[in-house]
Amino acid sequence: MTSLKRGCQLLERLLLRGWLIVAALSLALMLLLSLAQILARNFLHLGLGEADAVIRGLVMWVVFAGAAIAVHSHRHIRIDVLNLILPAAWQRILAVPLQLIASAVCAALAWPAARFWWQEWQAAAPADQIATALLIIFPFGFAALSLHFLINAGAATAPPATAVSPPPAG
Amino acid sequence: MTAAIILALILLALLGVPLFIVLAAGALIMAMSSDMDTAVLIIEMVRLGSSPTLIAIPLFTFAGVVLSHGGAPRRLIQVFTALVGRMPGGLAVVTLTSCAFFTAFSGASGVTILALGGLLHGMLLREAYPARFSLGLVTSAGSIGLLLPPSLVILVYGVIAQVSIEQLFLAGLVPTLLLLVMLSLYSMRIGRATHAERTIYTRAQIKQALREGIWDVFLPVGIIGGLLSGWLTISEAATVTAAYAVVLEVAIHRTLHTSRHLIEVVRETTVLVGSILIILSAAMGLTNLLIDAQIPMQLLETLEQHIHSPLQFLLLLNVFLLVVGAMMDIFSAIVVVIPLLLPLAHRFGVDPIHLGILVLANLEIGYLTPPVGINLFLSCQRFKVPLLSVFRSTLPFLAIMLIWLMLVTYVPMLSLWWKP
Repeated sequence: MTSLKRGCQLLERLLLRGWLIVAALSLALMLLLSLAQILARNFLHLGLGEADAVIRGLVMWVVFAGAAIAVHSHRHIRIDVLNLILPAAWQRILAVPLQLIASAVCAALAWPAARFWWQEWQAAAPADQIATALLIIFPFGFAALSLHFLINAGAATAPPATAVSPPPAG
Repeated sequence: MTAAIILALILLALLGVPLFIVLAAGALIMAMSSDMDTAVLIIEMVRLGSSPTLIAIPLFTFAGVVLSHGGAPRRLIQVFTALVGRMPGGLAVVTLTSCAFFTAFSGASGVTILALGGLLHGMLLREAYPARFSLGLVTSAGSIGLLLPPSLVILVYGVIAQVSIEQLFLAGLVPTLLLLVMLSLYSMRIGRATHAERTIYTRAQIKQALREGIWDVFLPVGIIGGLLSGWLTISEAATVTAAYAVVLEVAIHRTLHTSRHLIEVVRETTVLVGSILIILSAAMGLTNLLIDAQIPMQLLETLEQHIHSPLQFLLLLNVFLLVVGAMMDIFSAIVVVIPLLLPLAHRFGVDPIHLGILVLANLEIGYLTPPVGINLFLSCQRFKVPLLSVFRSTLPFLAIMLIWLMLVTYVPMLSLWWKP
Protein backbone atom coordinates (compact mmCIF):
# COMPACT_ATOMS: atom_id res chain seq x y z
CA MET A 1 0.00 0.00 0.00
CA THR A 2 1.44 3.41 -0.95
CA SER A 3 1.91 6.11 1.66
CA LEU A 4 -0.52 8.32 -0.30
CA LYS A 5 -3.24 5.71 0.03
CA ARG A 6 -2.45 5.18 3.72
CA GLY A 7 -2.55 8.94 4.36
CA CYS A 8 -5.88 9.24 2.51
CA GLN A 9 -7.37 6.41 4.53
CA LEU A 10 -6.24 7.85 7.86
CA LEU A 11 -7.58 11.31 7.05
CA GLU A 12 -10.84 9.84 5.82
CA ARG A 13 -11.27 7.73 8.95
CA LEU A 14 -10.84 10.81 11.14
CA LEU A 15 -13.27 12.86 9.06
CA LEU A 16 -15.86 10.08 9.02
CA ARG A 17 -15.69 9.71 12.78
CA GLY A 18 -16.24 13.47 13.09
CA TRP A 19 -19.24 13.38 10.73
CA LEU A 20 -20.81 10.49 12.62
CA ILE A 21 -20.55 12.45 15.88
CA VAL A 22 -22.04 15.53 14.19
CA ALA A 23 -24.89 13.44 12.76
CA ALA A 24 -25.65 11.68 16.05
CA LEU A 25 -25.70 14.94 18.01
CA SER A 26 -27.81 16.72 15.38
CA LEU A 27 -30.35 13.90 15.17
CA ALA A 28 -30.62 13.62 18.96
CA LEU A 29 -31.00 17.38 19.41
CA MET A 30 -33.51 17.58 16.58
CA LEU A 31 -35.65 14.85 18.13
CA LEU A 32 -35.46 16.28 21.65
CA LEU A 33 -36.25 19.83 20.55
CA SER A 34 -39.18 18.67 18.42
CA LEU A 35 -40.60 16.63 21.29
CA ALA A 36 -40.12 19.55 23.70
CA GLN A 37 -41.95 21.79 21.24
CA ILE A 38 -44.93 19.43 20.97
CA LEU A 39 -45.16 19.11 24.75
CA ALA A 40 -44.76 22.85 25.36
CA ARG A 41 -47.34 23.76 22.73
CA ASN A 42 -49.98 21.24 23.72
CA PHE A 43 -49.64 21.18 27.50
CA LEU A 44 -48.16 24.55 28.44
CA HIS A 45 -49.50 26.55 25.47
CA LEU A 46 -46.00 27.96 24.96
CA GLY A 47 -43.76 28.36 21.94
CA LEU A 48 -40.04 27.64 22.18
CA GLY A 49 -38.62 30.79 20.58
CA GLU A 50 -35.95 29.93 18.05
CA ALA A 51 -36.47 26.15 18.28
CA ASP A 52 -38.07 25.85 14.82
CA ALA A 53 -35.22 27.64 13.08
CA VAL A 54 -32.63 25.65 15.04
CA ILE A 55 -34.28 22.34 14.13
CA ARG A 56 -34.34 23.29 10.45
CA GLY A 57 -30.66 24.26 10.69
CA LEU A 58 -29.86 20.89 12.25
CA VAL A 59 -31.53 19.11 9.32
CA MET A 60 -28.91 20.61 7.01
CA TRP A 61 -26.12 19.42 9.34
CA VAL A 62 -27.47 15.88 9.04
CA VAL A 63 -27.71 16.32 5.26
CA PHE A 64 -24.06 17.34 4.86
CA ALA A 65 -22.85 14.67 7.30
CA GLY A 66 -24.79 12.07 5.31
CA ALA A 67 -23.52 13.42 2.00
CA ALA A 68 -19.93 13.20 3.26
CA ILE A 69 -20.32 9.65 4.55
CA ALA A 70 -22.03 8.69 1.27
CA VAL A 71 -19.00 9.94 -0.70
CA HIS A 72 -16.81 7.60 1.31
CA SER A 73 -19.12 4.60 0.97
CA HIS A 74 -20.00 5.35 -2.70
CA ARG A 75 -23.67 5.48 -1.82
CA HIS A 76 -24.62 8.70 -3.57
CA ILE A 77 -27.54 8.35 -5.95
CA ARG A 78 -26.20 8.06 -9.49
CA ILE A 79 -27.35 6.94 -12.91
CA ASP A 80 -24.28 4.91 -13.82
CA VAL A 81 -25.72 3.13 -16.84
CA LEU A 82 -22.40 3.24 -18.71
CA ASN A 83 -20.60 1.52 -15.86
CA LEU A 84 -22.71 -1.55 -16.57
CA ILE A 85 -21.06 -1.88 -19.98
CA LEU A 86 -17.65 -0.22 -19.53
CA PRO A 87 -14.75 -2.62 -18.92
CA ALA A 88 -13.21 -2.47 -15.42
CA ALA A 89 -9.95 -1.03 -16.80
CA TRP A 90 -11.81 1.95 -18.27
CA GLN A 91 -13.67 2.51 -15.04
CA ARG A 92 -10.33 2.61 -13.17
CA ILE A 93 -8.90 5.12 -15.66
CA LEU A 94 -11.95 7.38 -15.38
CA ALA A 95 -12.21 7.20 -11.57
CA VAL A 96 -9.63 9.91 -10.82
CA PRO A 97 -10.84 12.61 -13.27
CA LEU A 98 -14.48 12.03 -12.25
CA GLN A 99 -13.64 12.40 -8.56
CA LEU A 100 -11.64 15.55 -9.33
CA ILE A 101 -14.57 17.05 -11.24
CA ALA A 102 -16.86 16.34 -8.29
CA SER A 103 -14.32 17.93 -5.95
CA ALA A 104 -14.07 21.04 -8.14
CA VAL A 105 -17.87 21.47 -8.28
CA CYS A 106 -18.11 21.31 -4.48
CA ALA A 107 -15.23 23.78 -4.11
CA ALA A 108 -16.97 26.11 -6.57
CA LEU A 109 -20.07 26.02 -4.33
CA ALA A 110 -18.12 26.50 -1.08
CA TRP A 111 -16.96 30.01 -2.01
CA PRO A 112 -20.37 31.60 -2.73
CA ALA A 113 -21.70 29.74 0.32
CA ALA A 114 -19.01 31.39 2.48
CA ARG A 115 -19.81 34.85 1.08
CA PHE A 116 -23.52 34.28 1.60
CA TRP A 117 -23.04 33.12 5.17
CA TRP A 118 -20.81 36.06 6.08
CA GLN A 119 -23.39 38.53 4.77
CA GLU A 120 -26.18 36.78 6.68
CA TRP A 121 -24.13 36.70 9.87
CA GLN A 122 -23.38 40.40 9.69
CA ALA A 123 -27.04 41.24 9.12
CA ALA A 124 -28.49 38.79 11.68
CA ALA A 125 -30.62 40.21 14.48
CA PRO A 126 -29.55 39.04 17.97
CA ALA A 127 -32.60 36.74 18.18
CA ASP A 128 -31.61 34.98 14.93
CA GLN A 129 -27.94 34.47 15.71
CA ILE A 130 -28.09 30.77 16.64
CA ALA A 131 -30.05 29.88 13.51
CA THR A 132 -27.70 31.97 11.35
CA ALA A 133 -24.64 30.43 12.97
CA LEU A 134 -25.94 26.97 12.03
CA LEU A 135 -26.01 28.01 8.36
CA ILE A 136 -22.21 27.87 8.40
CA ILE A 137 -22.66 24.22 7.48
CA PHE A 138 -23.19 25.32 3.85
CA PRO A 139 -19.64 26.64 3.20
CA PHE A 140 -18.11 24.17 5.62
CA GLY A 141 -20.06 21.24 4.20
CA PHE A 142 -19.25 21.96 0.56
CA ALA A 143 -15.56 22.48 1.42
CA ALA A 144 -15.56 19.17 3.29
CA LEU A 145 -17.31 17.37 0.41
CA SER A 146 -14.67 18.76 -1.93
CA LEU A 147 -12.01 17.32 0.36
CA HIS A 148 -13.74 13.92 0.50
CA PHE A 149 -13.86 13.68 -3.30
CA LEU A 150 -10.20 14.72 -3.40
CA ILE A 151 -9.35 11.94 -0.94
CA ASN A 152 -11.27 9.48 -3.14
CA ALA A 153 -9.25 10.67 -6.14
CA GLY A 154 -6.04 10.18 -4.13
CA ALA A 155 -7.08 6.70 -3.13
CA ALA A 156 -7.99 5.88 -6.74
CA THR A 157 -4.55 6.89 -8.05
CA ALA A 158 -2.82 4.24 -5.93
CA PRO A 159 -2.40 0.86 -7.66
CA PRO A 160 -4.91 -1.76 -6.50
CA ALA A 161 -3.66 -4.03 -3.74
CA THR A 162 -2.48 -7.39 -5.06
CA ALA A 163 -3.03 -9.31 -1.85
CA VAL A 164 -5.03 -8.78 1.29
CA SER A 165 -2.70 -8.33 4.25
CA PRO A 166 -3.63 -10.26 7.38
CA PRO A 167 -5.09 -8.29 10.29
CA PRO A 168 -2.62 -7.35 13.04
CA ALA A 169 -2.40 -9.87 15.83
CA GLY A 170 -4.01 -9.14 19.17
CA MET B 1 -22.33 25.49 -27.00
CA THR B 2 -25.34 24.93 -24.71
CA ALA B 3 -26.00 21.56 -26.34
CA ALA B 4 -22.36 20.55 -25.80
CA ILE B 5 -22.57 21.44 -22.10
CA ILE B 6 -25.84 19.52 -21.68
CA LEU B 7 -24.33 16.50 -23.44
CA ALA B 8 -21.22 16.67 -21.26
CA LEU B 9 -23.38 16.74 -18.11
CA ILE B 10 -25.47 13.80 -19.32
CA LEU B 11 -22.26 11.89 -20.07
CA LEU B 12 -20.95 12.63 -16.56
CA ALA B 13 -24.22 11.34 -15.09
CA LEU B 14 -24.09 8.17 -17.18
CA LEU B 15 -20.49 7.60 -16.12
CA GLY B 16 -21.57 7.50 -12.48
CA VAL B 17 -20.81 10.98 -11.18
CA PRO B 18 -23.21 11.53 -8.23
CA LEU B 19 -26.39 13.15 -9.45
CA PHE B 20 -26.13 16.11 -7.06
CA ILE B 21 -22.76 17.01 -8.60
CA VAL B 22 -24.24 16.90 -12.12
CA LEU B 23 -27.18 19.09 -11.08
CA ALA B 24 -24.96 21.51 -9.17
CA ALA B 25 -22.53 21.74 -12.10
CA GLY B 26 -25.45 22.49 -14.44
CA ALA B 27 -26.74 25.18 -12.10
CA LEU B 28 -23.26 26.74 -11.70
CA ILE B 29 -22.73 26.85 -15.47
CA MET B 30 -26.18 28.33 -16.07
CA ALA B 31 -25.75 30.99 -13.39
CA MET B 32 -22.30 32.00 -14.65
CA SER B 33 -23.37 32.10 -18.29
CA SER B 34 -26.22 34.46 -17.39
CA ASP B 35 -23.84 36.67 -15.33
CA MET B 36 -25.65 35.87 -12.10
CA ASP B 37 -24.00 35.64 -8.70
CA THR B 38 -23.59 31.92 -7.89
CA ALA B 39 -24.71 32.74 -4.35
CA VAL B 40 -28.29 32.49 -5.71
CA LEU B 41 -27.82 28.72 -5.71
CA ILE B 42 -26.96 28.79 -2.01
CA ILE B 43 -29.96 31.03 -1.32
CA GLU B 44 -32.21 28.41 -2.96
CA MET B 45 -30.62 25.68 -0.85
CA VAL B 46 -31.21 27.69 2.32
CA ARG B 47 -34.80 28.23 1.17
CA LEU B 48 -35.21 24.46 0.93
CA GLY B 49 -33.71 24.16 4.40
CA SER B 50 -36.33 26.54 5.78
CA SER B 51 -39.24 24.45 4.51
CA PRO B 52 -41.34 23.58 7.60
CA THR B 53 -42.06 20.03 6.40
CA LEU B 54 -38.41 19.19 5.70
CA ILE B 55 -37.81 17.95 9.24
CA ALA B 56 -40.27 15.09 8.60
CA ILE B 57 -37.78 13.47 6.20
CA PRO B 58 -34.90 12.81 8.64
CA LEU B 59 -37.22 11.86 11.49
CA PHE B 60 -39.34 9.40 9.48
CA THR B 61 -36.14 7.96 7.98
CA PHE B 62 -34.67 7.58 11.46
CA ALA B 63 -37.82 5.78 12.64
CA GLY B 64 -37.69 3.45 9.64
CA VAL B 65 -34.05 2.58 10.19
CA VAL B 66 -34.57 2.01 13.93
CA LEU B 67 -37.48 -0.33 13.21
CA SER B 68 -35.75 -2.27 10.47
CA HIS B 69 -32.57 -2.72 12.52
CA GLY B 70 -34.66 -3.65 15.53
CA GLY B 71 -36.42 -6.62 13.92
CA ALA B 72 -39.72 -5.11 12.74
CA PRO B 73 -39.56 -7.08 9.45
CA ARG B 74 -39.57 -10.41 11.29
CA ARG B 75 -42.35 -9.31 13.64
CA LEU B 76 -44.48 -8.04 10.72
CA ILE B 77 -44.15 -11.37 8.91
CA GLN B 78 -45.24 -13.20 12.07
CA VAL B 79 -48.27 -10.98 12.63
CA PHE B 80 -49.50 -11.23 9.05
CA THR B 81 -48.83 -14.98 8.93
CA ALA B 82 -50.86 -15.40 12.10
CA LEU B 83 -53.71 -13.39 10.59
CA VAL B 84 -53.90 -14.64 6.99
CA GLY B 85 -51.49 -17.59 6.76
CA ARG B 86 -54.36 -20.13 6.83
CA MET B 87 -56.00 -18.73 3.66
CA PRO B 88 -55.22 -20.34 0.28
CA GLY B 89 -52.18 -18.44 -0.97
CA GLY B 90 -51.89 -17.05 2.55
CA LEU B 91 -48.12 -16.83 2.62
CA ALA B 92 -48.11 -14.97 -0.67
CA VAL B 93 -50.56 -12.44 0.80
CA VAL B 94 -48.31 -12.21 3.88
CA THR B 95 -45.41 -11.42 1.54
CA LEU B 96 -47.34 -8.63 -0.15
CA THR B 97 -48.61 -6.99 3.04
CA SER B 98 -45.37 -7.25 5.03
CA CYS B 99 -43.37 -5.87 2.12
CA ALA B 100 -45.83 -2.99 1.65
CA PHE B 101 -45.61 -2.06 5.34
CA PHE B 102 -41.85 -2.37 5.38
CA THR B 103 -41.28 -0.40 2.16
CA ALA B 104 -43.34 2.48 3.55
CA PHE B 105 -40.85 2.73 6.42
CA SER B 106 -37.60 1.80 4.78
CA GLY B 107 -37.24 4.72 2.39
CA ALA B 108 -37.91 3.00 -0.92
CA SER B 109 -34.25 2.19 -1.37
CA GLY B 110 -34.89 -1.36 -2.54
CA VAL B 111 -33.87 -2.58 0.88
CA THR B 112 -37.15 -4.52 1.27
CA ILE B 113 -35.89 -7.27 -1.00
CA LEU B 114 -32.70 -7.59 1.01
CA ALA B 115 -34.37 -7.39 4.44
CA LEU B 116 -37.54 -9.42 3.83
CA GLY B 117 -37.12 -11.03 0.42
CA GLY B 118 -34.57 -13.65 1.41
CA LEU B 119 -36.62 -14.76 4.39
CA LEU B 120 -39.95 -14.85 2.52
CA HIS B 121 -38.54 -16.44 -0.65
CA GLY B 122 -37.27 -19.42 1.37
CA MET B 123 -40.61 -19.73 3.18
CA LEU B 124 -42.56 -19.62 -0.12
CA LEU B 125 -40.42 -22.38 -1.63
CA ARG B 126 -40.75 -24.51 1.50
CA GLU B 127 -44.55 -24.24 1.24
CA ALA B 128 -44.37 -25.53 -2.35
CA TYR B 129 -45.16 -22.31 -4.22
CA PRO B 130 -43.74 -22.47 -7.79
CA ALA B 131 -40.16 -21.15 -7.96
CA ARG B 132 -40.86 -18.64 -10.72
CA PHE B 133 -43.95 -17.27 -8.94
CA SER B 134 -42.04 -16.96 -5.64
CA LEU B 135 -39.19 -15.06 -7.29
CA GLY B 136 -41.59 -12.75 -9.14
CA LEU B 137 -43.61 -12.15 -5.99
CA VAL B 138 -40.72 -11.08 -3.72
CA THR B 139 -39.21 -8.96 -6.51
CA SER B 140 -42.49 -7.18 -7.28
CA ALA B 141 -43.54 -6.81 -3.64
CA GLY B 142 -40.35 -4.85 -2.95
CA SER B 143 -41.88 -1.55 -4.00
CA ILE B 144 -45.62 -1.70 -3.40
CA GLY B 145 -45.68 0.34 -0.19
CA LEU B 146 -44.31 3.46 -1.87
CA LEU B 147 -47.61 5.32 -1.58
CA LEU B 148 -48.25 4.44 2.08
CA PRO B 149 -47.42 6.81 4.96
CA PRO B 150 -44.69 7.69 5.86
CA SER B 151 -43.06 6.91 2.52
CA LEU B 152 -40.00 9.05 1.80
CA VAL B 153 -40.83 9.48 -1.88
CA ILE B 154 -44.16 11.08 -0.95
CA LEU B 155 -42.37 13.46 1.40
CA VAL B 156 -39.87 14.39 -1.30
CA TYR B 157 -42.64 14.92 -3.88
CA GLY B 158 -44.56 17.09 -1.38
CA VAL B 159 -41.53 19.28 -0.71
CA ILE B 160 -40.75 19.74 -4.41
CA ALA B 161 -44.31 20.24 -5.64
CA GLN B 162 -45.16 22.31 -2.54
CA VAL B 163 -48.40 20.45 -1.93
CA SER B 164 -49.82 19.15 1.34
CA ILE B 165 -48.05 15.97 2.43
CA GLU B 166 -51.03 15.04 4.62
CA GLN B 167 -53.25 15.10 1.51
CA LEU B 168 -50.71 13.05 -0.43
CA PHE B 169 -50.72 10.41 2.28
CA LEU B 170 -54.52 10.25 2.16
CA ALA B 171 -54.44 10.10 -1.63
CA GLY B 172 -52.07 7.12 -1.62
CA LEU B 173 -54.22 4.90 0.62
CA VAL B 174 -56.90 3.66 -1.79
CA PRO B 175 -54.53 3.05 -4.74
CA THR B 176 -52.22 1.01 -2.48
CA LEU B 177 -55.13 -1.01 -1.07
CA LEU B 178 -56.39 -1.61 -4.60
CA LEU B 179 -52.98 -2.84 -5.73
CA LEU B 180 -52.70 -5.10 -2.69
CA VAL B 181 -56.14 -6.59 -3.39
CA MET B 182 -55.37 -7.15 -7.10
CA LEU B 183 -52.02 -8.82 -6.42
CA SER B 184 -53.46 -10.82 -3.49
CA LEU B 185 -56.28 -12.22 -5.64
CA TYR B 186 -53.76 -13.35 -8.25
CA SER B 187 -51.52 -14.86 -5.56
CA MET B 188 -54.42 -16.69 -3.94
CA ARG B 189 -55.40 -18.14 -7.30
CA ILE B 190 -51.83 -19.41 -7.80
CA GLY B 191 -51.74 -20.74 -4.22
CA ARG B 192 -54.98 -22.65 -4.76
CA ALA B 193 -54.01 -23.93 -8.24
CA THR B 194 -50.63 -25.22 -7.12
CA HIS B 195 -51.92 -26.65 -3.81
CA ALA B 196 -49.34 -24.68 -1.87
CA GLU B 197 -49.30 -25.51 1.82
CA ARG B 198 -51.00 -23.20 4.30
CA THR B 199 -49.35 -21.87 7.45
CA ILE B 200 -51.65 -22.53 10.36
CA TYR B 201 -50.57 -21.06 13.70
CA THR B 202 -51.78 -22.48 16.99
CA ARG B 203 -53.73 -20.19 19.31
CA ALA B 204 -50.61 -19.70 21.46
CA GLN B 205 -48.51 -18.84 18.41
CA ILE B 206 -51.09 -16.30 17.22
CA LYS B 207 -51.12 -14.69 20.67
CA GLN B 208 -47.33 -14.56 20.74
CA ALA B 209 -47.09 -13.08 17.21
CA LEU B 210 -49.70 -10.43 17.97
CA ARG B 211 -48.10 -9.55 21.31
CA GLU B 212 -44.75 -8.98 19.62
CA GLY B 213 -45.86 -7.30 16.40
CA ILE B 214 -49.01 -5.39 17.20
CA TRP B 215 -47.04 -2.24 18.11
CA ASP B 216 -45.44 -2.20 14.66
CA VAL B 217 -48.83 -2.53 12.95
CA PHE B 218 -50.27 0.27 15.11
CA LEU B 219 -47.63 2.71 13.94
CA PRO B 220 -48.86 3.46 10.39
CA VAL B 221 -52.45 3.23 11.67
CA GLY B 222 -51.58 5.81 14.33
CA ILE B 223 -49.90 8.10 11.79
CA ILE B 224 -52.89 7.95 9.41
CA GLY B 225 -55.33 8.45 12.30
CA GLY B 226 -53.35 11.38 13.71
CA LEU B 227 -53.15 13.10 10.33
CA LEU B 228 -56.78 12.40 9.36
CA SER B 229 -58.12 13.70 12.64
CA GLY B 230 -55.97 16.82 12.46
CA TRP B 231 -54.32 16.06 15.82
CA LEU B 232 -50.87 15.96 14.30
CA THR B 233 -49.10 18.00 11.64
CA ILE B 234 -46.72 16.11 9.41
CA SER B 235 -43.61 17.20 11.33
CA GLU B 236 -45.27 16.32 14.65
CA ALA B 237 -46.23 12.92 13.27
CA ALA B 238 -42.58 12.38 12.27
CA THR B 239 -41.37 13.37 15.74
CA VAL B 240 -43.84 11.11 17.52
CA THR B 241 -43.03 8.22 15.15
CA ALA B 242 -39.28 8.56 15.75
CA ALA B 243 -39.75 8.68 19.53
CA TYR B 244 -42.16 5.70 19.38
CA ALA B 245 -39.70 3.65 17.33
CA VAL B 246 -36.88 4.35 19.81
CA VAL B 247 -39.02 3.43 22.82
CA LEU B 248 -40.26 0.28 21.02
CA GLU B 249 -36.83 -1.04 20.06
CA VAL B 250 -34.73 0.19 22.98
CA ALA B 251 -37.10 -0.16 25.93
CA ILE B 252 -39.84 -2.65 24.96
CA HIS B 253 -38.23 -5.20 22.60
CA ARG B 254 -34.66 -4.32 23.71
CA THR B 255 -33.29 -5.14 20.27
CA LEU B 256 -31.09 -2.04 19.99
CA HIS B 257 -29.04 -1.86 23.13
CA THR B 258 -25.37 -1.70 22.20
CA SER B 259 -23.45 1.34 20.98
CA ARG B 260 -22.59 -0.61 17.81
CA HIS B 261 -26.33 -0.88 16.97
CA LEU B 262 -26.88 2.82 17.60
CA ILE B 263 -23.87 3.87 15.49
CA GLU B 264 -25.17 1.72 12.63
CA VAL B 265 -28.63 3.30 12.94
CA VAL B 266 -27.17 6.83 12.89
CA ARG B 267 -24.91 6.02 9.94
CA GLU B 268 -27.73 4.47 7.89
CA THR B 269 -30.18 7.31 8.63
CA THR B 270 -27.61 9.96 7.86
CA VAL B 271 -26.54 8.44 4.55
CA LEU B 272 -30.15 7.98 3.40
CA VAL B 273 -31.11 11.54 4.36
CA GLY B 274 -27.88 13.06 3.05
CA SER B 275 -27.89 11.31 -0.29
CA ILE B 276 -31.52 12.32 -1.00
CA LEU B 277 -31.64 15.86 0.36
CA ILE B 278 -28.32 16.94 -1.14
CA ILE B 279 -29.83 16.17 -4.56
CA LEU B 280 -32.88 18.17 -3.63
CA SER B 281 -30.65 21.09 -2.56
CA ALA B 282 -28.68 21.02 -5.79
CA ALA B 283 -31.85 20.69 -7.87
CA MET B 284 -33.52 23.71 -6.22
CA GLY B 285 -31.00 26.10 -7.76
CA LEU B 286 -31.13 24.50 -11.19
CA THR B 287 -34.92 24.33 -11.22
CA ASN B 288 -35.26 28.04 -10.50
CA LEU B 289 -32.74 28.92 -13.17
CA LEU B 290 -34.70 26.74 -15.64
CA ILE B 291 -37.92 28.51 -14.69
CA ASP B 292 -36.22 31.92 -15.08
CA ALA B 293 -35.11 30.79 -18.54
CA GLN B 294 -38.76 29.89 -19.33
CA ILE B 295 -37.84 26.28 -20.17
CA PRO B 296 -41.06 24.71 -18.76
CA MET B 297 -43.09 27.33 -20.63
CA GLN B 298 -41.31 26.54 -23.89
CA LEU B 299 -41.93 22.85 -23.29
CA LEU B 300 -45.60 23.61 -22.69
CA GLU B 301 -45.88 25.61 -25.92
CA THR B 302 -44.32 22.74 -27.89
CA LEU B 303 -46.61 20.18 -26.28
CA GLU B 304 -49.73 22.27 -26.82
CA GLN B 305 -49.20 22.02 -30.56
CA HIS B 306 -49.55 18.24 -30.45
CA ILE B 307 -51.72 17.51 -27.43
CA HIS B 308 -55.24 18.77 -27.15
CA SER B 309 -56.88 16.93 -24.28
CA PRO B 310 -56.07 15.90 -20.70
CA LEU B 311 -56.53 12.26 -21.76
CA GLN B 312 -53.82 12.55 -24.40
CA PHE B 313 -51.60 14.30 -21.88
CA LEU B 314 -52.06 11.55 -19.28
CA LEU B 315 -51.36 8.83 -21.83
CA LEU B 316 -48.16 10.54 -22.94
CA LEU B 317 -47.25 11.13 -19.29
CA ASN B 318 -47.60 7.42 -18.54
CA VAL B 319 -45.33 6.43 -21.41
CA PHE B 320 -42.79 9.10 -20.53
CA LEU B 321 -42.71 8.23 -16.82
CA LEU B 322 -42.44 4.49 -17.44
CA VAL B 323 -39.34 5.20 -19.56
CA VAL B 324 -37.96 7.58 -16.90
CA GLY B 325 -38.68 5.02 -14.18
CA ALA B 326 -36.81 2.36 -16.13
CA MET B 327 -33.78 4.63 -16.57
CA MET B 328 -33.51 6.58 -13.32
CA ASP B 329 -33.70 5.96 -9.62
CA ILE B 330 -36.98 7.20 -8.12
CA PHE B 331 -35.57 10.12 -6.10
CA SER B 332 -33.55 11.47 -9.04
CA ALA B 333 -36.59 11.13 -11.27
CA ILE B 334 -38.82 13.08 -8.88
CA VAL B 335 -36.27 15.87 -8.45
CA VAL B 336 -35.52 16.25 -12.16
CA VAL B 337 -38.94 15.64 -13.70
CA ILE B 338 -41.51 17.14 -11.33
CA PRO B 339 -40.58 20.83 -11.76
CA LEU B 340 -40.98 20.38 -15.52
CA LEU B 341 -44.25 18.45 -15.22
CA LEU B 342 -46.08 20.71 -12.76
CA PRO B 343 -46.88 23.57 -15.18
CA LEU B 344 -47.90 21.06 -17.86
CA ALA B 345 -50.23 19.24 -15.47
CA HIS B 346 -51.70 22.56 -14.36
CA ARG B 347 -52.34 23.55 -17.98
CA PHE B 348 -54.17 20.26 -18.69
CA GLY B 349 -56.19 20.45 -15.47
CA VAL B 350 -54.53 17.55 -13.60
CA ASP B 351 -54.76 17.98 -9.82
CA PRO B 352 -51.22 18.21 -8.31
CA ILE B 353 -52.10 15.59 -5.68
CA HIS B 354 -53.38 13.20 -8.36
CA LEU B 355 -50.29 14.02 -10.42
CA GLY B 356 -48.12 13.02 -7.44
CA ILE B 357 -49.84 9.67 -7.03
CA LEU B 358 -49.72 8.80 -10.69
CA VAL B 359 -46.09 9.90 -11.06
CA LEU B 360 -45.09 7.76 -8.09
CA ALA B 361 -47.22 4.85 -9.34
CA ASN B 362 -45.38 4.99 -12.68
CA LEU B 363 -42.01 5.19 -10.98
CA GLU B 364 -42.99 2.32 -8.66
CA ILE B 365 -43.43 0.16 -11.76
CA GLY B 366 -40.05 1.47 -12.97
CA TYR B 367 -38.48 -0.57 -10.14
CA LEU B 368 -39.36 -3.67 -12.15
CA THR B 369 -38.47 -2.60 -15.68
CA PRO B 370 -35.08 -3.04 -17.38
CA PRO B 371 -32.48 -1.68 -17.89
CA VAL B 372 -32.20 0.03 -14.49
CA GLY B 373 -35.10 -1.44 -12.46
CA ILE B 374 -33.33 -1.67 -9.13
CA ASN B 375 -35.52 -4.51 -7.79
CA LEU B 376 -34.46 -6.71 -10.71
CA PHE B 377 -30.79 -6.22 -9.88
CA LEU B 378 -31.30 -6.69 -6.15
CA SER B 379 -33.18 -9.93 -6.77
CA CYS B 380 -30.48 -11.04 -9.18
CA GLN B 381 -27.83 -10.53 -6.50
CA ARG B 382 -29.86 -11.83 -3.58
CA PHE B 383 -31.16 -15.02 -5.20
CA LYS B 384 -28.26 -15.64 -7.61
CA VAL B 385 -30.56 -15.87 -10.63
CA PRO B 386 -29.90 -14.43 -14.13
CA LEU B 387 -31.47 -11.02 -14.82
CA LEU B 388 -33.64 -12.37 -17.62
CA SER B 389 -35.13 -15.06 -15.33
CA VAL B 390 -35.94 -12.46 -12.70
CA PHE B 391 -37.57 -10.21 -15.30
CA ARG B 392 -39.59 -13.11 -16.74
CA SER B 393 -40.78 -14.06 -13.25
CA THR B 394 -42.14 -10.55 -12.67
CA LEU B 395 -44.14 -10.36 -15.94
CA PRO B 396 -47.56 -11.44 -14.53
CA PHE B 397 -47.14 -9.00 -11.64
CA LEU B 398 -46.02 -6.27 -14.06
CA ALA B 399 -49.15 -6.86 -16.16
CA ILE B 400 -51.39 -6.51 -13.08
CA MET B 401 -49.53 -3.38 -12.03
CA LEU B 402 -50.00 -1.85 -15.49
CA ILE B 403 -53.77 -2.43 -15.28
CA TRP B 404 -53.66 -0.82 -11.83
CA LEU B 405 -51.69 2.10 -13.25
CA MET B 406 -54.38 2.71 -15.86
CA LEU B 407 -57.03 2.74 -13.12
CA VAL B 408 -55.02 5.15 -10.96
CA THR B 409 -54.36 7.41 -13.95
CA TYR B 410 -57.82 7.57 -15.48
CA VAL B 411 -59.95 7.34 -12.32
CA PRO B 412 -58.75 10.35 -10.30
CA MET B 413 -61.43 9.62 -7.69
CA LEU B 414 -59.22 6.75 -6.41
CA SER B 415 -56.65 9.33 -5.29
CA LEU B 416 -58.99 12.24 -4.59
CA TRP B 417 -61.78 10.42 -2.68
CA TRP B 418 -61.25 12.56 0.39
CA LYS B 419 -61.93 15.84 -1.44
CA PRO B 420 -65.35 17.36 -0.76
